[in-house]
Amino acid sequence: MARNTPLKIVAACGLGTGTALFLKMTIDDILKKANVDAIVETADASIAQAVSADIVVTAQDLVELVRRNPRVKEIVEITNYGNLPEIREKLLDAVKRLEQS
Amino acid sequence: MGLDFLSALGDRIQLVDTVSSWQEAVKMGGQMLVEHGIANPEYADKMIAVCQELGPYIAIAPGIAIPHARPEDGAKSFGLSLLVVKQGVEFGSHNDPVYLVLSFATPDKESHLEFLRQLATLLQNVEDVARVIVDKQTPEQVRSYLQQVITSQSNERR
Repeated sequence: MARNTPLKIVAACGLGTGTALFLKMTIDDILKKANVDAIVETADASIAQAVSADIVVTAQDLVELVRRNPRVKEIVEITNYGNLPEIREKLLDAVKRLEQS
Repeated sequence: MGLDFLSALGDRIQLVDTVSSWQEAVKMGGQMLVEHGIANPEYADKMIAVCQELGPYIAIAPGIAIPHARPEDGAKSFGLSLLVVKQGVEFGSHNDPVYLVLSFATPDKESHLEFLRQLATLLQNVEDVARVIVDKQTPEQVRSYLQQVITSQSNERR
């Protein structure tokens, strides 16, 4: 199904400066290659609990926090930030689920 | 943009056989930043506090952790330090044991972008990289190996 507005994706980590930023660069790259229209932002733990987003991508530690945020539609949990295929597959699966909903 | 990985690392590389805890490892990493004027003395304790508060997510891939605190926690300029723990240290993460403790301080959200970009290439086979690094004897050997990895991988990417 075609979307009119870009997806809003939030890369979150504890402080929003290290892994979140790292993740944002990786996500930007993946989505560009997959031709997915999205705006990718970074967030720290407190923002991630309150932000409204189509997808939040984060590490295991923060998943529970984000799960309590009702304004997030999909959560993608990354275990290994060096595993590009893992990130790509989980992220694009979430995009697919959103398109089908 | 900011400094690249190796410029930001400088000669802040230390090899140890073991540490008593992840806190000690982070403290040593922070100490190297403090000694070189990259961060204020409180920064190392802040790095530990952040990890206690938010969990061991800083162990971002198998064998490697990137401790850091907020810019306002005492980061004076952008820089890295690398503590190699030959026997590994547990962070309480699924990416344990951690052999490479790569601490950083950044005064803002931009100075470390180029470093993060190069970190991405390093992380792609970080398990192999860690295995080679724990066998090195001197900081110089670690540095020249890292240089080799980063250069060859960024060439492949082009």
